[in-house]
Amino acid sequence: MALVPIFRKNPEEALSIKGEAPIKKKRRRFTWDDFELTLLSLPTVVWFIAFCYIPLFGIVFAFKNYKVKRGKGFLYSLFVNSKWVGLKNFRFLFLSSDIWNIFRNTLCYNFVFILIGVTLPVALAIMITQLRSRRLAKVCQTAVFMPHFLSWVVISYFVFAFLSTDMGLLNTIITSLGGERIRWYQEKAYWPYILVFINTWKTFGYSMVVYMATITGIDQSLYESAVIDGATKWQQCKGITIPMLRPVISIMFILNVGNIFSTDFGLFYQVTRDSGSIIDVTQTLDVYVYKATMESNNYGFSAAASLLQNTLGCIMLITANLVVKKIDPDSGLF
Amino acid sequence: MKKLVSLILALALVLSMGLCTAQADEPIKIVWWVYGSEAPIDTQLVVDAANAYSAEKIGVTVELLFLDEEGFNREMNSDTYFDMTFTCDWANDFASNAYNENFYDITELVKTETPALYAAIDQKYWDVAGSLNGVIYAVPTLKDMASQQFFRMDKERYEALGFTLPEYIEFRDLEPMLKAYKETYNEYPMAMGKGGLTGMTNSAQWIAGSYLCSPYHLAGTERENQIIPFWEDEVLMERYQLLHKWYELGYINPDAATVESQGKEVRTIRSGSAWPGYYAGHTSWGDMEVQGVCYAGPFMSTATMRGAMNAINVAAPEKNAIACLKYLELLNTDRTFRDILRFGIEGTHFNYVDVDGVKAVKRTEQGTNNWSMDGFVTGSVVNASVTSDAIYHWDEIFKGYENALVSTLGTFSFNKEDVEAECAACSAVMAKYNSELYTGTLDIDEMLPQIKAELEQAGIYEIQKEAQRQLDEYLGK
Repeated sequence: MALVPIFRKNPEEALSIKGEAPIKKKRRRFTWDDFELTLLSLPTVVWFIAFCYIPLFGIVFAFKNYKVKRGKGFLYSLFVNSKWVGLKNFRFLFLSSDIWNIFRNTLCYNFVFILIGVTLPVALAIMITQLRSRRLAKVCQTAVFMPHFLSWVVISYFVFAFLSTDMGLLNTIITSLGGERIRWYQEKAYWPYILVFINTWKTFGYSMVVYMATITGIDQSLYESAVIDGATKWQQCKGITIPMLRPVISIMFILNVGNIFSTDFGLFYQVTRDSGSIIDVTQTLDVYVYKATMESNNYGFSAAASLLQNTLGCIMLITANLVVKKIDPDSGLF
Repeated sequence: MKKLVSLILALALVLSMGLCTAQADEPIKIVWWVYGSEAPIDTQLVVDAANAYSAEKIGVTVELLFLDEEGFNREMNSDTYFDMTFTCDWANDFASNAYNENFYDITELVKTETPALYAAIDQKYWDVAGSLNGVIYAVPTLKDMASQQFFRMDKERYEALGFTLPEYIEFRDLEPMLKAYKETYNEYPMAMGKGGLTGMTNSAQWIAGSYLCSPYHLAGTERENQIIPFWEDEVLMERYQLLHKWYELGYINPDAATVESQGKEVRTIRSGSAWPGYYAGHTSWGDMEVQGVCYAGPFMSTATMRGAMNAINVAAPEKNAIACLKYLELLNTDRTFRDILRFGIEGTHFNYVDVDGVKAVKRTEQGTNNWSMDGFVTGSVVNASVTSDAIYHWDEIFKGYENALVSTLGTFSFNKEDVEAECAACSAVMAKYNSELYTGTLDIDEMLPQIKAELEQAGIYEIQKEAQRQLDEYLGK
């Protein structure tokens, strides 16, 4: 499945059979259809230019010691008033003895998230579409989708209600069964599991819906002919559903790999309640940058950190795309 | 033709001058950024009342905008226009703003344009608080100018337990009280949130973050004028150790490091910076009779005197700068006006009552709910009336400052510019441990080697060296 091109080729050209020369060479003309399609794409194009391309010059921040010159405006402050400092803004990242810990956490969590994010929603999407009761399928879908709408702050309070040392639900159960209270927010060992669980619970519903939409779009006649040939459900799934899902799975995978150096601040800062004892296993790059720049309020540092994140992410994305294309030439993102 | 043009131009000039003079009667409107996470409900109402008063008296009106710490950082970094802003040692940092030339030099202006304002504030506050390297950049807000730390204690229960609450207590001497309280009432006597005991670390003047300080108690010893890492301050370390002991003994709630704060309904010891007489009588916090017990201070330094100030935008036109000063002058000299911004509209938000011959303010319910903020936010606390629940006399409090332990660092302000990366890295290290240190969750004796190692890697000694160099240079002057 390829992305639908916005500019259609000349209909005659498109109709010509592959490998044969077009019957008559015609200059491409900008047709009314093309105009309509261009108009349709306009809002997106404007959005990308305004919010993705123009702000790109902010990268300059990463190499400047940004100082405001009051009354002169932002551009003057940035380009004239602020000194170039080379790579100095990147230094603060590597002054931390935790930096390798931080990179490890960022990468490992994301790796697990991607792994789960690819397998679990696909499996559940297939299972739900197999449900005979449409009503039950809808209920399941909605129930799984719901957490997506909750903010991390709200979730952090839910989690606290379960894990609070003093009044938490889990500790109340443990003590009523005669056990010792667990200081959840001070014990490192549990947090990798807790974070993975919560993240999965919150996010998998969303990707599940994407996969379900694709599954619904699969040509039913494929299944009909498979049934006639005597294929079991498992064989249908293996032979039709998963191969048809493959392009979507690989696109979702590549996009996630591009974000492998960024993490959800809400998950790692709010849900852990910024507890110091467990920080070795919960601190990711975003959380560190937030903490380091809280006091100094230096835009250069944050810009440097996100430039690093995005550059590495971009490299990862391109690599992942290459790898995917090697395995299956039709599934690449670009 | 030429004549006609010049005639028209001349006419236009005369007309515009006429318009200008007409405009001069209009009050000047200044934009004033004040501290607060959100604007109280009745802001418009009160500001309108204040504007009517100030427009008549000095021809100045204000537009009040409330910003919190992050809001100040954001707005100061984006060159948004303001005329006057709140600045201090703990939010919208005065020293770094002054070093960055964000503020208007008012050294001469304040003396010539507003002599009454200049006279209303003691010379030492102009010198130590409002100035940087001899240039006045800000007008100090008169409030408690020294740092004095108090426990706000449950009078009824501790007296029932047989204790007499003293005026002053050593931090460590609290232990038997906590023990008795815990045993009798089976509640946490020192329940707290992740910020710990507010003001507990104020026994030192902090030079950088919560890692480099200069303790007040070292003044006059051979270790004075030294900038040291926090672990070399014995007073602070003892507090951290005691807190951990109390945490283990169950006097502090086990959740302390992970809860934001303790709710209003919790009956417990709280701590804070205050002044004698501030904590007295009944409080709605925990619904109890309280008494303030001092455990540290009074200490004085740039940090304590810079507790609240107002500075003018360097990019503001001179007439606006003068208008700001006039406005502050009125706030510092006219009690009726000061009470409007402090308490609201008389009859709506508060009423004047007579308490033992003192004209005090009693807030109405509307006043408590819809126009309530810290006293320093809208100007001088000293020039405002006192409230009827706690009567104190500012001249006595200021007299008490004569016995304060004064920092030997004078007007020194650390310029972090060259060690900003190290400061950021050290802040990140401390951010990991702060809430657990402040709540006693962490065993400082066990963890100190690790914290030290991390801070060393982050460059704490480079910052210390740079700070000490700047200080020595300053003291050598």
